[in-house]
Amino acid sequence: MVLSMLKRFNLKAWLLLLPALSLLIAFTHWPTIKSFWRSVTWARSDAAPAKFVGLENYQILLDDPVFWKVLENNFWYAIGTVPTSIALAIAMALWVNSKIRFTGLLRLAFFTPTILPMITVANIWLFFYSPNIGLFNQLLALVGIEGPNWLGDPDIALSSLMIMTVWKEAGFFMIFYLAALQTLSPELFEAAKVEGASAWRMFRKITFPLLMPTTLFVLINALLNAFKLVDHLFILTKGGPNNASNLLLYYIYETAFSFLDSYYAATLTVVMLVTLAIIALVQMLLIDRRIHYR
Amino acid sequence: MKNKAKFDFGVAKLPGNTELGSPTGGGNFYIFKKSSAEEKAAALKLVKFMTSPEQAAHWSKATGYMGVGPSAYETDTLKAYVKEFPPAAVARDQLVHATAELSTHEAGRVRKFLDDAIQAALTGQMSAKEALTDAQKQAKSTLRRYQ
Repeated sequence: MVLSMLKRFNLKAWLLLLPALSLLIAFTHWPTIKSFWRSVTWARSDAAPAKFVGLENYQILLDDPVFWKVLENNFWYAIGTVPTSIALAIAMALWVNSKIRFTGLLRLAFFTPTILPMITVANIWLFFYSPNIGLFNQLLALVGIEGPNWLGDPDIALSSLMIMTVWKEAGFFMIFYLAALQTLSPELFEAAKVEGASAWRMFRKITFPLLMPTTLFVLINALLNAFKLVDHLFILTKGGPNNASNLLLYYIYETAFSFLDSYYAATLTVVMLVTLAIIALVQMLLIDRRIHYR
Repeated sequence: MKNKAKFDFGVAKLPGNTELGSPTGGGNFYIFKKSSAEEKAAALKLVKFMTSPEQAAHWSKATGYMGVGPSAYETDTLKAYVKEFPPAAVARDQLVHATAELSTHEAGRVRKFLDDAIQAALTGQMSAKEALTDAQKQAKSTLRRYQ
């Protein structure tokens, strides 16, 4: 009797799943559910009990100009960093995959930004971007150009962050493309060469389509990173000036740990989760179908 | 501090453009509502001791911190010290230009609205008036729930 019940429950399978499942539930699913719950409650202070307020937090969110600003910033940040770093990653991968000397050194050089901790990197870039004494403005001064205030000017602060992000991300994505390139069969290219195809045509018709599975993977990661990456904001701009470079996750951090408003932070978190889920779904459903897997 | 400094230093009031100002802040003593009567009495005794003119004077002389009450500057200790070393009185003299610290619900957030307004005005995104009107609007909207 007991034995047959155990069989029905697939006890062994559940036991095997248990370690992974308990971690997943404790650190992913439970916090998600709690965030949802928290986003529909509110309390005047930490000491007061939270009460159910329905969609009031979301109403406030819709009226919050800073929320719209960080959302817009995040949109441009994604548009600005994702395609550029992917294109650069492919170019770099093609280059270090070719038969030239010192490829090992080149690969290392391209990959270095990935190894470095973001906070350290941001401090170095802070020096690059400093007005007057910064590296960029000193170089510009050599050719007689007065450089901008890279991080202090609201019109270019976000772009300055994007440049650094591309530098940081491209090398990491290059590794995936490099791995993919090395699995491509040389026979395809030999055949193409016999047919007299140009290098560009070979790239467009053979290399790029065969890299598509990698591109989807990289695209999802790059988009998620565009929402996840905020370490540099702590060092470089703190979202300023006047929220010109503020991003959604940094705003959540600020709300939760500077303003100590965990309810509104939860509301913002829910919006972020939903946004990311939609992005991932669209990518998987729409793009995945059009990719050639071998 | 004065004894340990191996370099020349001076103390002066903050310069002002249209009006002088003085940033204020500092430590606080608290007595908790939920403490027992005994604990409250003991805590009060400590607070009284720490803020008594003689202790404040001693603390000010030893650390360079401002004497925390006018009476501290009436003590012989500080009177003599200020006479011998006038910079010790600058922080006190500047205090007449101070205004009360911003005190409100959601203080962190409201202060951020003010910071944003200052940044917007300094970078030329908005006029000072526009920026402050904006900050006021956001603060009002945030504080709506506490009314």
